[in-house]
Amino acid sequence: MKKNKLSIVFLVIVFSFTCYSYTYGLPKWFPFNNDNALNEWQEKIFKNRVLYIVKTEEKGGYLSAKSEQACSSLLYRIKFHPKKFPMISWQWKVSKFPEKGTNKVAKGGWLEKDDYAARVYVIFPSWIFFKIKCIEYIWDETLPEGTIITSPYSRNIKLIVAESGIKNKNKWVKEERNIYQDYLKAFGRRPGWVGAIALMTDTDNTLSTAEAQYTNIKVRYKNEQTKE
Amino acid sequence: MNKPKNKRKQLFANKLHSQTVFLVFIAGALPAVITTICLYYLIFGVMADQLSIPEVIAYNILPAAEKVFLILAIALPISIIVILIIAHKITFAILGPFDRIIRELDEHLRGEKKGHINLREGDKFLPLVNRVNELLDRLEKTPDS
Repeated sequence: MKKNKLSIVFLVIVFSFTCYSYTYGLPKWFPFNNDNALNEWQEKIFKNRVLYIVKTEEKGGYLSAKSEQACSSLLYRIKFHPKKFPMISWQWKVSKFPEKGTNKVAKGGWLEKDDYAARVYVIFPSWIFFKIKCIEYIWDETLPEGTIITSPYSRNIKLIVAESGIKNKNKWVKEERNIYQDYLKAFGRRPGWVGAIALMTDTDNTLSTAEAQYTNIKVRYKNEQTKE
Repeated sequence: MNKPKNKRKQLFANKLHSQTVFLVFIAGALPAVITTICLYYLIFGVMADQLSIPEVIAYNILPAAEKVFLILAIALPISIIVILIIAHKITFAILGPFDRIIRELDEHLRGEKKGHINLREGDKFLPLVNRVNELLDRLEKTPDS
């Protein structure tokens, strides 16, 4: 009887530890180094389909995105609190930027220029759908690094220029951001739970083409060197 | 010169009237509010959850939700007011004469009044009162009365 009780306690401890480790304890890392790497990601198609392909190479894999007048994203649902795990990092490379000045159809306004070669989303869900907030890390050709702008679609979407200019075009660039601090800067208040991250390369507004690559996305971790 | 004292027109004939109007109002308004919440939050919420990307939510769902909200914001108060007015009218026609009938019957019982109980056209108790009046007529005709 006593043995049975001990076994149950042991199992509960092991189960709790496994759940904790799986849910909160370990960082989530996406190296895109195998053909099944996108199995956990959901594709969200909004206007035509961006070609997202995992390319596995000896040096390491990456996710290739090619957009031709398209807008679709890859979404990964993950729940964590940025106060506890504020860091996100990734590597990205842009091979072709959207042509923002040549759209003959669009009126040339802000909305018509809302295309970026590479975006990394951090989404903060809400029960009230119009309160869903999001920060997007973008690579823009013209805006200076660190610029925070509000999306033309909604004031709940803030775009943060994580990489700027064309000097690093065709080069892998590593980014590491503090979600908590960025949210605080962008919205002026503390963030809630993160519900998903997403990647997007879109050219639906500029009706042009863009190409980008992503790899080594790491999320849900705490940088010990970063003072909170 | 003294002005004639204005009689305060009561909104409700009696307590039963106010309770009945309240009940009808709740019966009409509550399902409307619940439907609104369900439509607005659950349907749009589920759609937003499916779309996930905030720009797409803002582009596709928000305009539709704003239109629905505008329609509801106009239609819901109007429909509630209409329900309230109709409920008040109907229940007043039913329950308004109730106190008057009792009062007049009491006067008859005390012998302070003779003749018919008077009701207005459209009062819902008219068939009942007609029969009571017939009864009163018969009672007056009997020698013992």
